[in-house]
Amino acid sequence: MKYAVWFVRLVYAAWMIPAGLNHFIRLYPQPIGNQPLSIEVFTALLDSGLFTLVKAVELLAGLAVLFGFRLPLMLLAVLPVSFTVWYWDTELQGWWTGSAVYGWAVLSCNLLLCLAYWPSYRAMFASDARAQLPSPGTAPPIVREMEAQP
Amino acid sequence: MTRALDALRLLLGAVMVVTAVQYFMPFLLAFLPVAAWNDPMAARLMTAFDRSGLLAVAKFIHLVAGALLLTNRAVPFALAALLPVNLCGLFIALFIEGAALVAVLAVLTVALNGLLMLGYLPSYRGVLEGGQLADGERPEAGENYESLFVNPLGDAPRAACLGGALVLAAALAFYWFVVPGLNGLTGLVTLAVPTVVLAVGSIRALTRKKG
Repeated sequence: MKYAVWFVRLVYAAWMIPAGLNHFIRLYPQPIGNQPLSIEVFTALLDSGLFTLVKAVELLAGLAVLFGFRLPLMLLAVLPVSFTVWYWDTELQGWWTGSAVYGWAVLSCNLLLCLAYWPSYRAMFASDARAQLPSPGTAPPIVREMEAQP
Repeated sequence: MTRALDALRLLLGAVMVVTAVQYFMPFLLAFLPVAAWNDPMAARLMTAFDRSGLLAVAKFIHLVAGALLLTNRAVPFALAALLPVNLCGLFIALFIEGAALVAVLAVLTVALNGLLMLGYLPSYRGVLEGGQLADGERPEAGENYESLFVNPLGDAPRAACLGGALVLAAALAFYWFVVPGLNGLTGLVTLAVPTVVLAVGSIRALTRKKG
């Protein structure tokens, strides 16, 4: 199992880092779509500045996957981006196109890696979780433990 | 304090469900005011989201997560799912539309989302902590990704380096043979980093004296 996870990590990182970096330093032509609706969405994202945010998340997540920095957190943060990439590549570009392959690959890698770190996410799905804000002067156990880490 | 957080959870859940229902079934809530985007860029972006179906996806997330908040089920997950959608809304309201009322509402929504997440902080322990291991990995050197591909001084044994090299070779072959054009090339360049790290670790493993 660990070898499969390592393979997916390497492939995913090697895809996400250039894809994110490409917005800030031109490495290859950015695909803008070949369907009216996909072009409309892409240009609206680009012109509004939201695309920069998307690409920054993509780049940070790629680096986190490659270097193992806060991986469960970054996999969760990039999941909406992966979903949007998948949606754009499949629903907007066409389900039986070359784009769709990339869309499926990106979302699948993200979901597979989330699955590999499932124990990290399990507590989020507990139905008996109780909300409690830390009282002034006392940090909750999670914060204390994180601060104590080397 | 817990009661106040429960009230805020119900408030956020109700707002999310109502705005989603207003989008999918506007006739049910015809008495509520409809958000209008006056800035041309904001209007263009929201129209593109609406026409493409992405807005429906966002509203669906609002609907499901809002229902989870109202029924007190998987609340930390629901809050985490809402956060990117609400942050996106905040970006549009604050930086593109710029109207005071819309911006204040967006800030309040994200603040409420964030405050509730703070209340459920222990549930995010696994996500926030560093050094998590994937399924099948162990903390010993050579038994996890970081000790082979991130830390050149990881002291991984020879057999583990060989296993890592085979996985890395498979990833390199994937980008060499399967991924076309510049995407393949940039992927290979990125993989040079773990290649160098693994090479250093392997040389160290080969030259290490058995103790």
